[in-house]
Amino acid sequence: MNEIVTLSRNSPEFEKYLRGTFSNTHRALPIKSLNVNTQAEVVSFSIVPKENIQRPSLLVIFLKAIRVRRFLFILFPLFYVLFEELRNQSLKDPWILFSSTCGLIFLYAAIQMRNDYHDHLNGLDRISTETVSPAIQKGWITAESVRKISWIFAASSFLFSIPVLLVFPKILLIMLAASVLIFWSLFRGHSSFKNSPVGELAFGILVGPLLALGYDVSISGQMTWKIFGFGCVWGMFVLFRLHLQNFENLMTSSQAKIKSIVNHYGFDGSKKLIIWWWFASVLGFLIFQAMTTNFLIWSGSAVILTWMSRIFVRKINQLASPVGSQMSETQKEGVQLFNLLVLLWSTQILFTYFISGFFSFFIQGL
Amino acid sequence: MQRIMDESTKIFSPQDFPAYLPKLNSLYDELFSSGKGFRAQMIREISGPLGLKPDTQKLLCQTIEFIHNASLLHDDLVDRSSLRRGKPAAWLKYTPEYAVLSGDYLLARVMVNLSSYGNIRLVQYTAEVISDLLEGEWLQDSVVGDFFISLEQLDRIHNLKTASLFKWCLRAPFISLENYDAELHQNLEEMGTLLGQLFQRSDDLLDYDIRNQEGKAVLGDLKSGYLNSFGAFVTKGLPRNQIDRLIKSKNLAEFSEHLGGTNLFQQRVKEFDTANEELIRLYQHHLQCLSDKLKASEKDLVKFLRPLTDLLYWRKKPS
Repeated sequence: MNEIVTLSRNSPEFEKYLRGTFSNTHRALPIKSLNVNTQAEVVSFSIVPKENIQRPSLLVIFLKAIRVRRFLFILFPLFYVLFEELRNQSLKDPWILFSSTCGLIFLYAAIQMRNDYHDHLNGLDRISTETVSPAIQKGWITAESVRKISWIFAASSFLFSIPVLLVFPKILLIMLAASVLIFWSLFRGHSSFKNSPVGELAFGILVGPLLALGYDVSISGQMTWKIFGFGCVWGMFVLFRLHLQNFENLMTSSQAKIKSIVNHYGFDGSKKLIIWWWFASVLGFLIFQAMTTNFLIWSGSAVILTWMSRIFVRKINQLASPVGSQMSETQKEGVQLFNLLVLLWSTQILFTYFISGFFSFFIQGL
Repeated sequence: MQRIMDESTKIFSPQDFPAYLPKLNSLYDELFSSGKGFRAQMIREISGPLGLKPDTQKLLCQTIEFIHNASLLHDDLVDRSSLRRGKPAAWLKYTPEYAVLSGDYLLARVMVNLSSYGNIRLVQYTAEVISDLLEGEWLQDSVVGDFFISLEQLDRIHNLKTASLFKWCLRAPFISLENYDAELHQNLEEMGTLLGQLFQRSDDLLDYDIRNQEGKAVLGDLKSGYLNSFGAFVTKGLPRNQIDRLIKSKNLAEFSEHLGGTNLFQQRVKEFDTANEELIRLYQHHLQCLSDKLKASEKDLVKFLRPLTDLLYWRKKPS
């Protein structure tokens, strides 16, 4: 039977327990409370001997700790921009491409881990238990280790960015814009970056147009309107996912007085918001496609997305409660729709790239 | 402790309500006389060691019983329950309109009485508890017919609907003494949550005829479309078609059979008890923390609070 320890925030031991540095042989797992309050004065911990913690393989722990599933948010824009520049034959140097890609991936992993570390210290991971990383919560790894690894990743990202900065100094402009956006939204939100409407919009801009443009500059030295347009549409879809995730936690996050866009609109309003947001994103996607691809691909995308959207719209409209099994089913349906979009778009990119490659090869052969 | 179960709790007099309103006093007489008044007794037991004045004790007892009974009046109508404590429910015996109005009137009296007392923090906290109670009712109604709901999701609803009153019983006496220590109140809040959770889970077990000395109707929740906490525990991870068969069970024997036999059913009950023993252990830990915060003169409070889990979860009659 595990020992239970309750500590006040004023206790000098408090942070050591949260960080996991209080002992070399035991882990302190915060006990979940139904009384949602991030500013809780007191936290109870279950003290578990390290050998009693059931751990998966190191690879699984690592993938869970870096939140590998969320990498789609940045991997897809990288994929799009890379193939766009491959098609345009405007890649400058394979080493710069390697440096830039690694730098961004390490940076994103560092941000994810740092974010989890802060959520753990602030108690946010005891509110939205459905969306938190199990790595810290289940004691597979201490919060302190997560913090240290995030620093290693941040340093690696910096090292990888040096050659890019030397070759394309104008990337500094994008980095400056990203920094301003982060600090501005932090200042406006007064708390965690992602827990305010301004922070949410800033997240969409960062992972959308700024990421796409930044990567474009770092691998080709140029910025194009097409990449900017892509970034804007992608940012809309990422925000759709964010709203969907916040919607699943609507009840607990509302009780914790978190001021997200979804919490502002409430249960009924957010159902409409999410549907409208999805269709606005699809509309943006179709306008972008109309300007950048042929009619066959455009009409195919329009038909498939509209057809598949109806299941999600029906599910979300039928949703009767912010708690209950329907909520997670609707969430899964929304994620599947998002994944379908990514699959459709990726297939299109590969198809366009290889078809155009094939024709250019054929023409050159003639 | 015996007093908790037995003592009759007449916590209002006819002068408290206007005599010119037809049927109001008789409705309340019937409603209050049949209840155990457990929450009011809890207030009395807590107020004693804290040295609360008799008037304040009476006010707190009235408040909790008024809120609880208002929720029952509304609850029976919402759930269309025909019986309350073995007698016809108020909405059937009188009218649905009178049931709603008499519930509303009790809540209004709570605010009148508390505001006259003059402790604004107590008024605010009580209003929050009433809000929580209503939110819990609302949410519970929204998940009727959802047979795939998880235990964790139900816990959140029960924390609003059931535990909020237990939290009030623990915290209100301290608030009325103007003791607003944040750590103490968080401690009491956690204890109230655990008591509410244990009480609800034990109550849900009655539906499966476990420790059902009260003779509660078996599978009543399930038949009215509500998968209670034990139901959610048992159905977790089962295939959909098996859950479909379980929820259509006409009696407990059929339910056990669809689950995989009586032995498996009993094993699942044991597992549920084991899970709840962990909650009891956590409650005892919080109680120890509370004891460290109490003054020497208040320590008797611990003697009352310690066996509450036996009463509320194991349904053991106090010796």
